[in-house]
Amino acid sequence: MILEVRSLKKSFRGKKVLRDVSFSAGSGSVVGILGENGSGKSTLLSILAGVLAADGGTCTLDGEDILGVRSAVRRSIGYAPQGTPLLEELTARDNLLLHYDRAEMEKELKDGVLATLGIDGFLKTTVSKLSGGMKKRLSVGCSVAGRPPVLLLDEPCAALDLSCKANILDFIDAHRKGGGIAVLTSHDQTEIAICDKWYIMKDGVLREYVYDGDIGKLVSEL
Amino acid sequence: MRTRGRKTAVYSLLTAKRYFRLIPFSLVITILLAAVLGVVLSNVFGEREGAEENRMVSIAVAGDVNDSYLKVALEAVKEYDMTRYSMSFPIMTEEEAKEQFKNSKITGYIVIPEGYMKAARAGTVGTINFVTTSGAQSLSSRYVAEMIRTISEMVVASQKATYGYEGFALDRGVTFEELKPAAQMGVVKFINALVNRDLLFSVNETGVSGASTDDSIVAGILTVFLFLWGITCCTVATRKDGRLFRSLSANGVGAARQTLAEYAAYLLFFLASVAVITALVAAAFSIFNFSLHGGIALTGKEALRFALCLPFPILVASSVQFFIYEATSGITGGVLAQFLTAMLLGLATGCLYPPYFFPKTVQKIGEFLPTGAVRRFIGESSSGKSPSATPIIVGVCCVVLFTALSIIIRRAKITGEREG
Repeated sequence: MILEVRSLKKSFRGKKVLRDVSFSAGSGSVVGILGENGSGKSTLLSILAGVLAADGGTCTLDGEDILGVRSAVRRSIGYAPQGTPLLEELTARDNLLLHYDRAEMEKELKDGVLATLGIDGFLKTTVSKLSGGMKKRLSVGCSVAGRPPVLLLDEPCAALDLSCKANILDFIDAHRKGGGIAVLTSHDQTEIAICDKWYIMKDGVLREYVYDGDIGKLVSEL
Repeated sequence: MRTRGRKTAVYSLLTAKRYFRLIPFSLVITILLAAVLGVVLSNVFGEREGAEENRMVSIAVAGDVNDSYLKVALEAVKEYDMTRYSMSFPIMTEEEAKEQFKNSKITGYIVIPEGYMKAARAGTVGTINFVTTSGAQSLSSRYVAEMIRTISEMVVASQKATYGYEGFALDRGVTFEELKPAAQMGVVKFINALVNRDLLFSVNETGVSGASTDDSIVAGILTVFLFLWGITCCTVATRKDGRLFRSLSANGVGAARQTLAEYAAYLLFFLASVAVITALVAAAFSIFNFSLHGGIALTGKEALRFALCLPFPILVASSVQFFIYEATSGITGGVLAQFLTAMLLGLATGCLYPPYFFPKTVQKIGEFLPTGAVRRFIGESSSGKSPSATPIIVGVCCVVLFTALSIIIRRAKITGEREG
């Protein structure tokens, strides 16, 4: 399985946010998109998730164009935007039911991704009463309904404590080991460390970067 | 994994669940709103009732009123005339009438002179004196003077016919006792036919297209209530999370589906809340037997009669409210916008103030505003008539327009520029 992005372009009111963005990712890989706030990382993921329309360029999965083809996007891509996009007044279970069939949810809670994320411990709790880490795990759990092969994760570990972070990183690792592709945007050192490929986004331009563990060097590149 | 359609349906149900969690808060606000508007309504009717009592014209009848046919004629005027709510004709002596007139207890008095009936029997028109203030050139005094002149002529005409018939019958051996009931009935029928105001003029009330004034006032207040009701949903309806919208969009529930699902949930909650409040109001009316002036009985049946007209108005009002919440941000902004919209639209379409006080252009525009259509629909359907096409067409157009606008705004929220 190969995810291939070629010459992606996007402008907002004449301001170019993405300029000919290209990258590729193969099965069992985690791609890190790094960059400063406002550099265009989230816009890139939104386009890949089908939320935004690109002004130009292509994105293919195994040679099949997935931009603008909603059904294909829905089946193949799981998208977890920044923050925790959840129905705060309802329980964790209600939020999962928006994405999963009841039987599928029970199965995933027993020995699937929802169990890996540790969601079964707070199923009946109202989301507004959950901690930030619990909400994030729930949010990721919602986005992986149907086990899509491609995961787009926008800052999945932002503002989480160490145990929650470890929980989510374990999940990403399990996804990679299962042959999936994960594309994540990040500012977090531990997230960056689990990636196989790195790209730096600056002023809408994406370029490949080889991360050798030297965070000072990386910061100077951003 | 759920299909797009099922996901949309589930999202709608979950949104409805969010709204239904508001029920205690919503009911409190709804009851407060209903109470405030109920007080306004009862004050409006109270003022009208008081005003009508104050306006009641009392004309005393004095002098030679002992003739049996004249008594019957006066009774006919008092009882059968449509003006019985606005005029009274107490019979008293001339001295009593003078005294009451001096104390302003009566507007004036008429004196039937001695021998008036005898003159009438002979076929001549005598003079009835009407005493009132010299400067009383108001509409009511002119009206009274005109009425007295008319009644005087009618009484004389009726007496002429009655006495002519009486003389004819007596000459042919019919006893007076045999004749009296028939003659009296003849007088009553004659007077009643002559003074029946329905035959002489029609009364145009200031209601809206076919609805009575009372129904029209209730329709206006009810319209404002429906448009203000949106405030009760503020805590859920103003919570707009762009990230959730984008996440849903990525999962196949796009802007249109999100908006329609949320609108359906909002509508369902609105209908359910109004059903609950109607049941409470109907129960209260049934238990406490509220009643207002002039046949407006606030019974449980009456409350249900109005409630049955409400689903369509609720559909229209909810589309406007939903749009306002979509277009504003934050609780303060949302509530303020709901309040101002309800009050301004209510004012412009005559819900809070009689529409005929506004220029014709404003009245015409008002018919095409959501509150104008809703008010007219309630007014017409609550009075038992089929609502006319205009408010239905305007209402449907409003629903389509405001829902479309909400979808456009939602789409802009999903696809708009953002950080990152």
